[in-house]
Amino acid sequence: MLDQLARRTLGAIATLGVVIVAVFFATRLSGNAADYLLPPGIDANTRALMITQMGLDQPLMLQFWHYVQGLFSGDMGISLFERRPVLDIYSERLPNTLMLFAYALGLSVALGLPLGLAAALNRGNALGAAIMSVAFVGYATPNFVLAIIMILVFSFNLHWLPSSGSMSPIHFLMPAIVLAAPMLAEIIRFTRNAMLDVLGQDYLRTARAKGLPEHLVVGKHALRNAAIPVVTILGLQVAGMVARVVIVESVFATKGIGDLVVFAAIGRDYPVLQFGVILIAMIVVTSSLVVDYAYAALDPRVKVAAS
Amino acid sequence: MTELSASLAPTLATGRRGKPSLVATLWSRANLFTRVNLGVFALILIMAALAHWIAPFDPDAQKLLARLKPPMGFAGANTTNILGTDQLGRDLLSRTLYGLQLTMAIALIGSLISLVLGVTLGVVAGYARGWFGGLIMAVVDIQLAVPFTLIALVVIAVFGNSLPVLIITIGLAGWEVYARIVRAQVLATARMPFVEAAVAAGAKHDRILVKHILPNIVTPIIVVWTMTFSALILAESSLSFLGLGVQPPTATLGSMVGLGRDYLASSPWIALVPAIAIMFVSLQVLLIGDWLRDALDIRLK
Amino acid sequence: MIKTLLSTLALSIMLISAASAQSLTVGVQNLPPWLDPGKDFGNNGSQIYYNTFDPLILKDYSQPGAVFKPGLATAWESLSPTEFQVTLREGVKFQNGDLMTADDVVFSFERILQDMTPEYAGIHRQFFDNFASVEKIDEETIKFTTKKPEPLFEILLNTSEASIVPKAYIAGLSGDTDAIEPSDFDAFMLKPVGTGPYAISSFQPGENLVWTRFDGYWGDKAALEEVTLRRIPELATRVTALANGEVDFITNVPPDQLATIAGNPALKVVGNVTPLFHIIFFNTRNPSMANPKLRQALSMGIDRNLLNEALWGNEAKVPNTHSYAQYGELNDTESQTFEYNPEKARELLAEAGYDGSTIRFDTDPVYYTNGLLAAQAIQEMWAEICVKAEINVTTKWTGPDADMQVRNWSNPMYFADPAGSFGTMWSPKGSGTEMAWTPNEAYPGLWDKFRYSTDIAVRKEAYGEIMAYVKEEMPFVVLYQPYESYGMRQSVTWAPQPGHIPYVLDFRAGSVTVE
Repeated sequence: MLDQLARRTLGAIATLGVVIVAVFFATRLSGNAADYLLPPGIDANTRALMITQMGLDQPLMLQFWHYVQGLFSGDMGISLFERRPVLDIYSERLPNTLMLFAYALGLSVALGLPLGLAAALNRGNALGAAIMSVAFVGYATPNFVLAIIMILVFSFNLHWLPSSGSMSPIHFLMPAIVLAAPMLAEIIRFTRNAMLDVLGQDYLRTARAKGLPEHLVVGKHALRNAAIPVVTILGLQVAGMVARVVIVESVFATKGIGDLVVFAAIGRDYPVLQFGVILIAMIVVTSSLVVDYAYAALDPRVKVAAS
Repeated sequence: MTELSASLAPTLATGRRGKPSLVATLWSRANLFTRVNLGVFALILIMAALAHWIAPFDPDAQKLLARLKPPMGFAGANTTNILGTDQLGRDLLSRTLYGLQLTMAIALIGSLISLVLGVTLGVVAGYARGWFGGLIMAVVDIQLAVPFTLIALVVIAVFGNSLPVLIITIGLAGWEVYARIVRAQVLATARMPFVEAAVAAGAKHDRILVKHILPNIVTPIIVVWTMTFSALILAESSLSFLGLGVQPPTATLGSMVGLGRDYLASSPWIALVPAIAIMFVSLQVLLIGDWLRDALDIRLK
Repeated sequence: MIKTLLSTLALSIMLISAASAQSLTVGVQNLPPWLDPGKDFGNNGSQIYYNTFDPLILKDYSQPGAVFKPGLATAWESLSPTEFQVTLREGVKFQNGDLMTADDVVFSFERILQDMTPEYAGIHRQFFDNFASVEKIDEETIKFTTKKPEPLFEILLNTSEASIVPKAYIAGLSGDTDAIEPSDFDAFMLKPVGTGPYAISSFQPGENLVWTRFDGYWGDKAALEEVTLRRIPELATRVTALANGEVDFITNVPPDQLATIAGNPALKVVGNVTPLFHIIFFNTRNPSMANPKLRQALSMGIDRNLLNEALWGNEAKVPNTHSYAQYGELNDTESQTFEYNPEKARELLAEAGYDGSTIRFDTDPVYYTNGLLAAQAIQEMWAEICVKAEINVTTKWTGPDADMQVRNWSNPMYFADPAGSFGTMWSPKGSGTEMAWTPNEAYPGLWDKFRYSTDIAVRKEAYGEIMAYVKEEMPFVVLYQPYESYGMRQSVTWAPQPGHIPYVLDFRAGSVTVE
């Protein structure tokens, strides 16, 4: 078990290493960053001077060597665009994104488990069908459509909620809902299916036969077992959330890392982009390790599987 | 996109063998709702394919002095433009039909690329274990660690945005799901007594592959493919929304929403018509995928 | 419990929306990643500098002409056509408390004239190419010397690029606190200090900026206690933030959205025709674009009045030539450099031997209001004269690329003289010329005649000749002066002042009131 965890950790580190190399060279395949950073109309001389100043005229391998050295000494480089340390920028923004994640995860678990349970217990009737339709629609709606419609309805027309920014918890409500929507749909579906599987199992029939009240059968036995696939989904959803947060943050003007990474990719702010990809890979890899632990904790029969 | 890999992260029960009457069996298992759904979806595919003949106007033809006209039935509508006109006076119905066509084509070609790539690599990884198989699975792990949107951002940032780049980028999404499923299936099948017996009897690898392994992976692949498809439609529209899709005036449903979103408060139909089209199509594909999974009795946890 | 929570939430919204009469929250489309008036001529930076920095010479911005007023200099005179002397105002304080000295003034110009960073070098070439030296005569007197006679001394000293910055403060920002190092300039960009009526009390690059009234300001105290700028790039979100009371004021409202805002009784829209041209320019060095007849044909294929009617509701201004009303006497009202004539265009295409090959039209997705729409409309107009164009939407600045063919751009008026708009872009050393145009040998002489003559009639005539040459060469086409709009609450009284360069958010005394 420990051996396997160690192996997985090593695998994760190797993965990060490959990510670092890949993103460094990939971003440099496409011309010079200076062309994206300088204002339209800059002339050739200024451009050449800027390129020298940013160190972009050095040989690629040398740039890479400096970058790796920096990584190990805690120096993630200076943003070409903002001219300040990349670490400063991320430390300003990471809390907002993590807060958004926390809200979205909380929201989708708090709503998804009971709704999924209700859908399972009401299989075949109108309530069950209604819940599942909502789940499917939530899954099929592009997040930017949901985001803009929510802004129009709840901010523009009803004036209930602020449309943008990250100043107070209430500013996170709409982005969190948009971020949570597909995940909520996913949790509803998986909870329902897992419950249906579990409810048909022999040991539940035994429990019922023993005269255990139905709410205990469902609450104690079924839910615990159904929780296992749901935990798996949660861990894997982190990657999905990172993907969606990019759009959600830009529509709601949330100052988080998703918005930052898109801006850096489009503007070729290499140091910011590189660290962003590495950071996100770290988040995803870590969360899948956490899932392994949770998995083991929930069900002692499951060993940490080397997938 | 990674939702995909999430929902389909496969620990896969053995699928049924393909039967000759697969289609007939499936149809007999479909309830009325599913049959209607399949019919409507077929109709949409036909409309998309025939956009060139059924669209009332050239999708790129502008009428600059007839911009932002609402759909028929609203005040100020043009009688000729059933769904109204967009920000350059182009016929929204025609653009939606052509956009649907392109969106479906991109998702289709992209999903075939990821399917072929994933299945091939999965078979190779399952067969040729050793360092090469390990390498493939390592790449799978890396792809899982980096969300697709990020990969797409980097790829498009590097190669610029154009149709081929978009299709290939979409093709890079989801191959890892196939690879994992197929590899697991290959490994499982290879351990079955009858395969081991066949190997012992000197059967060729390609024969084993074709005769014993492929039939076992066809149904899960169909299911994964259907379920991937709606995610690909959403992925395409997300990239187009960020301005990383095809170049205007060519339209996909996603780019229509992306470029029309500024008009949501003033002329909402420009973005709502393609947005509803995206939702409708991806919902249908999703429902079909879900039904297929149940009907084929595939368990993908 | 839930009740308390809800009321707290409601309160927090109220706190955000309830703007006191002394403060203003502005939703801007974009904020610059750094601030230094001496390095920057971008449209995002233009929003900021006037509130925080002063140049030596100010002017009456309520009128388009050049009526200069004392700024950090109280008096100025020409000693000779190449020498200009200013008398500094006494007792001026920087926002950090330092007293402004003659050394600060000399340093502010030397950092540009000595090319202390690449960006300063760029401003040097585009604005102060003629400047030879700046000297301190005594504590109150500064003398500027130019290489050639300089008719534009006042105009150049009035630009935001000529703003005065604190030398000692900059030197103390990093490393050796007494010496000026490159890292000092980097640090200054994040913590800028000037002498203007608003101090920048908080700046998160590209995200938000807070201005606080500077009580030690030498002139009329700032109109507002505090102004907050927030970047809200999405238009729908920005408009909603205004309608929802999260901000009091928004920038960059495209013409198609004006009705949405004006339809809300709590809001209003204010706009003006901006002293900036949206243009398209051709890479004349690309063999496919080398024939002037082709470029003339492309120019004649564009129905600029139709663009104005369709995209701008006829509120933009379609000029005949590269000239602004703000030039006063120098405004060229006679030249007919650009016109719509599709028949002539077809003839010219035939003469040029255009072979029907595709022309790539590069455009940024959002940088220019209506830019992408105009590009697509022009693509259709060119199709009418049988020219095939493809749109290439890219955030990359493709101006200097060898394979660039056509792209859109803007030519802002950096100061109220043809040298400050046409000149910065299309003079022999202008950035457009460097990128994409090779004028003939006579052109520099013609330019110098216009630029350095002190006789206004000679300058005017020379500019007419330049425009005639442009018409023949057609390195670019001026589309229109856009109509830029701002949305705000009814309680805010503000309008863009006609004397400013484009995009200036002037919140100084007398320019804004909030009820």
